[in-house]
Amino acid sequence: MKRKFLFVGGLPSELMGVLRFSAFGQVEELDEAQAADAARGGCVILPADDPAAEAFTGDELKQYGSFGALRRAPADFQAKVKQARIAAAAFAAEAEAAHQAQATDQQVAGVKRG
Amino acid sequence: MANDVLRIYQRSYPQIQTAFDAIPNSAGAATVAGSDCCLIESLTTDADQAEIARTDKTGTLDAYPTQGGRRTARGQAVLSMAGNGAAGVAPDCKNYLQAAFGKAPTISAGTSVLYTLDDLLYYLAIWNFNQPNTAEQMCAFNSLINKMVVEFGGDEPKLTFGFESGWVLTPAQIGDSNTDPLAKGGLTAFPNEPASPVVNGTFPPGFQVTATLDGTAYTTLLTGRITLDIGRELRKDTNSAFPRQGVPGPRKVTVDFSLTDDDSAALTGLKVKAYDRTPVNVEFAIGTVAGNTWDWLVKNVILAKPKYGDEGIRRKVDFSGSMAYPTSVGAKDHLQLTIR
Repeated sequence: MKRKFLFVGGLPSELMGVLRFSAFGQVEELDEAQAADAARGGCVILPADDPAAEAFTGDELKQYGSFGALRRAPADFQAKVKQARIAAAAFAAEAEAAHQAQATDQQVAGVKRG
Repeated sequence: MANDVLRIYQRSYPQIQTAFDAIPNSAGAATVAGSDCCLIESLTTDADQAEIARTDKTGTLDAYPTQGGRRTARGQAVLSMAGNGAAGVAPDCKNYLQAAFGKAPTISAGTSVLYTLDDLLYYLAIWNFNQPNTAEQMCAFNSLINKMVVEFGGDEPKLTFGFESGWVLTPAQIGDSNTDPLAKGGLTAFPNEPASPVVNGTFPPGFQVTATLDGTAYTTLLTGRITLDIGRELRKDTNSAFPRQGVPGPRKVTVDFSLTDDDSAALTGLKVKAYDRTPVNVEFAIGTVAGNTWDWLVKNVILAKPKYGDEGIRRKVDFSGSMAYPTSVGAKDHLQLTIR
């Protein structure tokens, strides 16, 4: 199932062959598995309907969407950025936990040959 | 017609293993994913096996064929010092860094990622994928990082990780019934490279370095290098041709740097401390952008005696081979990295 995700990273991120996040505040539709893999891989995204994502206004994102402008943004906007990144980290941690739960790490029997 | 394998089509996917001998998998299927990708400038993962000659005399001028010796593997990954760009998010090379430092990073959400030294062993499964998929693919598993080199001062700051591996698995070995199961790392099939590698950020310019030497900021740094040698190794026991376990080894932190020579009181004082063997702290912060500033702190450095030479039209002073030590035995605080 596809959902919308908001990118809140500080430099471009890419899911090679799928899409590139090249601006802060970029919204893209991704399927859940793709989004989870992206988040585990360090792509700083969170569901667009997360309260930390909804805290940004359209005007703000327009004004500070470029990475250069983002660094010069006022303190109240920076505080929203920090909250959004904390939410993105939580989303990534959930994705990591789900991934780890799948891995059973089968080991070989201790066969010892030359 | 055969396809040439182009160097540009190579990517690395380092995964931290949860157990020795187990390439991360789910019921034998590798779990490597796009999220594990870490771009590299070069990656080598070379398996080897010694040839053991029989020393008995044969009574002729010829020898018996050699026998296969122990299985070994070594490799090296060279990559740009690329940060994520969001403060508090680890870079794509996080697993190489964690395995080198011997400790998982301390993450302050939205603020920084801190790597400090410790004695833990992290085994890596380092996937070495090449295109097309029919080209040789490799997974160097049970890998222990035994060397990390940090270089800056040029255009692109670099990280180099040297490692010893238990073995290097290739697709052909998976299907070969003569291949020892220990060489297969628990896999029942060799995966294709993930379809959508996740890649983040970029490197800070290697010439945007704030060098703080013994508390004074210098703008005259020419080049710098930090080397972490770790004597970790895979044990060569007498119960298998393959290593069966890793062991920690002693750490050695070396720092080399050169500056434009000048007659400032601070630099004169630094030279005196080198002659007096008075330990100093040195810090190199590479980059200026939040989330992509790599701050390398090397503590308790006994500076090498200064050496002088020419650098273009100026003179330079070189402190190569300076050794760092913990502030107290066991403190493990002589090297740390903060990405902020």
